[in-house]
Amino acid sequence: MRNEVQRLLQKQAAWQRSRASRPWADKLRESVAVRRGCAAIREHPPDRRAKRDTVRYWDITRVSR
Amino acid sequence: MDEVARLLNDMVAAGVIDDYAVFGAVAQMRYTEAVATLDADILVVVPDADPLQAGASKRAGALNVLSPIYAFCREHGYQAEGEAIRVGDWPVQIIPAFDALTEAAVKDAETGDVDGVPLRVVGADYLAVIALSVGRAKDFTRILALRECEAVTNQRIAELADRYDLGEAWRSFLERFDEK
Repeated sequence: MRNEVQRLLQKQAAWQRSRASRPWADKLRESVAVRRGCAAIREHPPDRRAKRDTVRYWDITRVSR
Repeated sequence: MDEVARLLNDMVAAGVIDDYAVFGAVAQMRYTEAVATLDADILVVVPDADPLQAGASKRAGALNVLSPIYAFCREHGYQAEGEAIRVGDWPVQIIPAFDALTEAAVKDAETGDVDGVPLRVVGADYLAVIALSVGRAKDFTRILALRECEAVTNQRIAELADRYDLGEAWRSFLERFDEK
């Protein structure tokens, strides 16, 4: 179990390093996109009455019980 | 960001500022993966000006120092937006170098590249120590991210921290975040 977690963490660290090594300008554009996305959600909040199509935390925990 | 870089390089060429360097999250992204941020923070060194003596109060002094920069931006079609100046996609916040650490950070800054345009940027080591001096949760996260990406070492941070009277803050950081 411990080895599996170690492998998972190493894999995640490698993925993070590969994202970090991308060109600075690309990462800055990505940051702008995130900021725009947040602003869009603020301006047009999702309709809470709409039928939800995402799995929520309690759905997963209910299944696992 | 290339538009911001051009504007800042033009300011140096016109003598409005002596030097500049991007810091904060925008600088961090040179070394780590992308992070969310609201604006671009720029440290500037202005010609022959002591921000603490240029006016009757610290606030007025800082404003006097910044007014030629704001005027230059207006002349080039960039308007103030709250505390920042809007340049393309980025609200840009100009901050005069305010102590020995930030002055050295600008002096020793590196020249990065944004879509072929040179942009001066604070080195990862100074970035970490500035974050240490500010000391908010997000600043500690920045130090951890810079270390994780191997952009800076503990030894280098310790050297700079000692030089700028932040040795105690660094030891406290290590105690808090490093495994025993």
